[in-house]
Amino acid sequence: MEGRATEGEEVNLSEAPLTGRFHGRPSALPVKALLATVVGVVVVAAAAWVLLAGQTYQPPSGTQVAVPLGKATVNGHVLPHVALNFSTYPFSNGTNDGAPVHPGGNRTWPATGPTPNFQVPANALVTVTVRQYDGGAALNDPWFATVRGTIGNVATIDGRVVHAINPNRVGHSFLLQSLPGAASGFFVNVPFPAVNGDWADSGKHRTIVFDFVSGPKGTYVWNCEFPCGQMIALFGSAMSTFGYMSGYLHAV
Amino acid sequence: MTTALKLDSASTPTTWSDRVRARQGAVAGLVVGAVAAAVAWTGAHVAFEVGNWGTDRVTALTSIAWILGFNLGVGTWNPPIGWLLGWTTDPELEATEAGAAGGRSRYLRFCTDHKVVGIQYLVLGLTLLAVGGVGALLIRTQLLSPHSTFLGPTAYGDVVTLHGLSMVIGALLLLIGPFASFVVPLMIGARSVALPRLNAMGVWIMASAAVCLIATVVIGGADVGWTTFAPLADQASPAMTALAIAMVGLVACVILSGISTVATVVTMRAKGMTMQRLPVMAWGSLVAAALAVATMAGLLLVMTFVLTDRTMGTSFFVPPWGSGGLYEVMFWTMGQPLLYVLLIPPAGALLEVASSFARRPVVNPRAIVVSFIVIAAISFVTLGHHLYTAGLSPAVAGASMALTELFALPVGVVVLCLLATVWRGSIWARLPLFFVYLFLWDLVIGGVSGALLGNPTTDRSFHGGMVVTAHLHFMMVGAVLVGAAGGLVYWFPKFTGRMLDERSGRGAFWLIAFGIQLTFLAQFWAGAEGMARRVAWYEPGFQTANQISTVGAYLLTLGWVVLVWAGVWSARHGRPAPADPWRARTLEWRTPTPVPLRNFPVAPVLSEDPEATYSAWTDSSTPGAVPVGGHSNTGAGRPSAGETGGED
Amino acid sequence: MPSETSNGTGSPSSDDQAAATQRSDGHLADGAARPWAFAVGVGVAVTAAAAVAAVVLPGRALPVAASSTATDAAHTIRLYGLLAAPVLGAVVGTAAASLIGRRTNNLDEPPPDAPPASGRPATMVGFAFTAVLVVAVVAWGLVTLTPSGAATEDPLTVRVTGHQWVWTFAYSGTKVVGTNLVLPVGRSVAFEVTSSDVTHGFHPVGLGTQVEAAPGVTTELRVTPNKLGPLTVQCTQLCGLLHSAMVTHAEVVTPSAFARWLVTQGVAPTVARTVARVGP
Repeated sequence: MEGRATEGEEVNLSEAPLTGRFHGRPSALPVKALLATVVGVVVVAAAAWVLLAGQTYQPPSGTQVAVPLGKATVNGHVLPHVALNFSTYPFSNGTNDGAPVHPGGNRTWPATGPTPNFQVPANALVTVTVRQYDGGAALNDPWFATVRGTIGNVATIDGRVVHAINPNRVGHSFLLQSLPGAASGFFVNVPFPAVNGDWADSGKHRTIVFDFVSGPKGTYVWNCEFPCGQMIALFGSAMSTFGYMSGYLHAV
Repeated sequence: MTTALKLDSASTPTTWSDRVRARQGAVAGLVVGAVAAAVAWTGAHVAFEVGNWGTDRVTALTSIAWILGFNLGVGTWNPPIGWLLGWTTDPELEATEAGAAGGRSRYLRFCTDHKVVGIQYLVLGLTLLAVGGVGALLIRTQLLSPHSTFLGPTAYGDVVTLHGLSMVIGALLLLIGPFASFVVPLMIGARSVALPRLNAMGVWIMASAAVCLIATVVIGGADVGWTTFAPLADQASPAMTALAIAMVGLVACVILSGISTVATVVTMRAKGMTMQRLPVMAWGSLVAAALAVATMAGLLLVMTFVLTDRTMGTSFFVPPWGSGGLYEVMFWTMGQPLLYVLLIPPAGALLEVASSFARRPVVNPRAIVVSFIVIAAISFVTLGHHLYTAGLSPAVAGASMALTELFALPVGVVVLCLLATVWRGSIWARLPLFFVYLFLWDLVIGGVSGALLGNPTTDRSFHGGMVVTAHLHFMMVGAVLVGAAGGLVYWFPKFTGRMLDERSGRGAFWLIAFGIQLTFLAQFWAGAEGMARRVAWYEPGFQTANQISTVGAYLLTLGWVVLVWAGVWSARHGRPAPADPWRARTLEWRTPTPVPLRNFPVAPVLSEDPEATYSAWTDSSTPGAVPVGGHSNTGAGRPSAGETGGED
Repeated sequence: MPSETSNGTGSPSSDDQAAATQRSDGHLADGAARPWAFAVGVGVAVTAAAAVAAVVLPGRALPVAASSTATDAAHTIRLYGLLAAPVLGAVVGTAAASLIGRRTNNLDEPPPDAPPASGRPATMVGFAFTAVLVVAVVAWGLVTLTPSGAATEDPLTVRVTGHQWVWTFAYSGTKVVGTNLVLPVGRSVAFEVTSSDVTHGFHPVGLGTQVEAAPGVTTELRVTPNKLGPLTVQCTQLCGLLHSAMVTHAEVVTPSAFARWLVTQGVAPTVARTVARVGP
């Protein structure tokens, strides 16, 4: 029995010899813990600041309430008529027509201004006027170069009425759809052509006007179908962050 | 003694390395990590243009520098560096590192005492579970109404990812730390773990990786879900790069601690503790650790490939050269076994609980151990059931289904043995036992729904829907977390030296029990109606089910909060616990609480009594055995652990 | 609970079968109770309730089955529910019965030890029972592995493309591409599914089947809608920002209505009638 106990003792720790000298130090603890907490908070805050600097992915807040224009008759129904205006910019703090869009935003990303969120009356005729300041390229799928879901499936681009644009020269687009279970089949797609030539930081723009009838009360979402982000399919970054090339449309 | 060692050693105890090591710890880690991250961030901005790949390279270098720097400051790298440079170290310092100094400051240091490491993992795991719990509340609040704009789609997706990953990792850390690191070595009568430095490295690597994981929500978020499927992961914001590096840290943590657990159980068992007599809890941890070590490479590979796709322009998961299908297969080679890495140890823990509170040895332990091994083996070949909708041929789908349904046999045996242990037992209705019954109920619901999802025909109706969510939460919360909670409550007196307040513990238990049923049964309902998972918006017809689920989630969260609060309060003010409050059968209760540095005053030796079964320990009346725990007769005159001299 | 501490369960009674009879304080139930009868009673009740739920609840919750594949799936759900009912009954019955036997709520003292149990007969019986269930489950799964209502010779081919975050449907034989899915009833549809960006999941809810839409790959899904009415198409694979909005309404219509719809989409009437397989 004694022998066994000794054997058991030899199942050894891999640490160096243990001394009894370190038992009396717990008094240092509260100071250390306090210090650790304070320094920890400061360091974590500093690290977060370093990581965040230049990467503030904050979408702009605020909602643009549509301007009433009176009444309009669509397919024999008299509907309220309202107007929305917005612009698409190559850079989120771009100043093509004045105000920066996303103060403190990710400046290299394209953006929609003055705000990507809209409010319109339900079941109303909405006339949208878009000033498109960005250059462009090809769509991932040329199907999105056709106008769908507007009055007459057409849009007016720089004064010309068109049903489709060149899918290889698209700047941005506006694809509006309902959320699950609401307004069955509600769908609007309008492509915006690219600005030709020197577009960056210039005031050159294309003007797109289209009309659609808003659906029943509820929340709708819109997004851009032109691949204007980064990474796979160029749908990362601005395209995958709500508020740059996407937003809400509230029908009230 | 110390003087003698000084003379013998090649260097003085005031070498530069010793001076540095005396100052290492969590504080130094934060400072060095932050400085390294700042330097890397600045340097990377000089080297790379912010944009398509550049931001990812900056994020990758900053994250890696943070992890390396933090662990340099903590002292995680001391073992390999010291070995390479041939450090000879002041024994005082070594002893401090081993936890001999005592005091709470050792919890903020690189400490090789496996009990300290276990508690460090416990705190880290609970922190991650708290983060995941906040995520769960945000998700359920968003889903209170069908078209809510509470979070918005970006934040919702980021929170879904963070919730899933921090919950899975948090649960895993509870099993690695308090279970495998703290309890198992005591349970097998070891006086240390086999690889204490390896064991201690894991927790600090994971702590720094957890910072990267949580940071994802402030540096852009990764809207990808816990499975982080590529090519979506290749598209997500640069936060995905930080997330992938956090996952690499997780792999390191799991493999290091897994190797330590396997080595400990295989080599450090007390005399007489044959593998035949190993408690089922220790067997469960052994099997789970071996399974984790064997499969974690899958996660390492997919995360490495996502990193190179994102930072170097490779296309492992991008067509035409790569494919997302490759990611799915590689991910599930790890993901499927991981679910059983999570499930086996809680089952083992609750078997021990059932044994203690039904007052009899675990019934038919051999069948349980064989079942654990069979579960681990089958889990390697059942990833096909995640791919039924990916275009599997009928032959592969059929084989995957047959293998998947086979899980019912070994899992069924474990359930049967658990039931047989309490059946006609002498029931002592204490809090840990409550969790056994909840575990059984949840495991049956989760298992039956798993059998349903294992069938290709029904899976093609439910894949990607809330039925899957409900099933996996019955397994992950109802079985894994409930099992882990049962184990933590059971070993609470050994962890803290105090008794958990039974009354508030029971209140928490009932909140948890009913919260789980409300939350996740309602999700079965929503899923059957056709609701997809990971959606921020759903059809208004599913609202009732979602409201019930949200109310359940609030109750469930309240239950966990009350339980943790009861634990924190009891750890400070609870009734002092005797060494063996449960009159249990396993060795960890045969040593004083708080557990001495070397675990047992005298190395325990198990009796060779042939009547003794797995969980047997001996008492001094058994011939041929050395008593364990208390003040030993045989060890009289020998120095006990904390006082053992260096020359011993 | 004033009498908790006075519970005498710590008494060294050698015959623990007979020891625990102090019911007066309400804490220690009688070991001589009939746990078998109790277990069987609870088990049968739970089994019956679960079986009823397994038969009734799927019909109340599942979307209307619009194909034989969906009907198969609903049958499978009910069958597995019925097979699972006795499992739940057995576990709940046994667990509940274990609590009515010898039991103490005394916080301070554990009751005397229970006699060790081998558990082998129970485990064997339970294992055999589980094995029978597994064989049944696997056999049924293999029988239904290939969807019934085998594909006809002449399917309507629809090319489905998942975009972030819209589905488009192209009807072969026409130039129609749209975001609406309109299907003729009673005719096999071959969906050729792919993606233009990341992985999506194409799930026409109600048709009881789905397939992944992966970039660079075309997966095929064949199903025959057999019920007129609306359906929902949803994305079942997290695909980024507006995954939650990637839901489209679909409609199953008669072949002649399908031909009329094609005409509204700009297809020549003769072509539309050919594609829809309706006479002039």
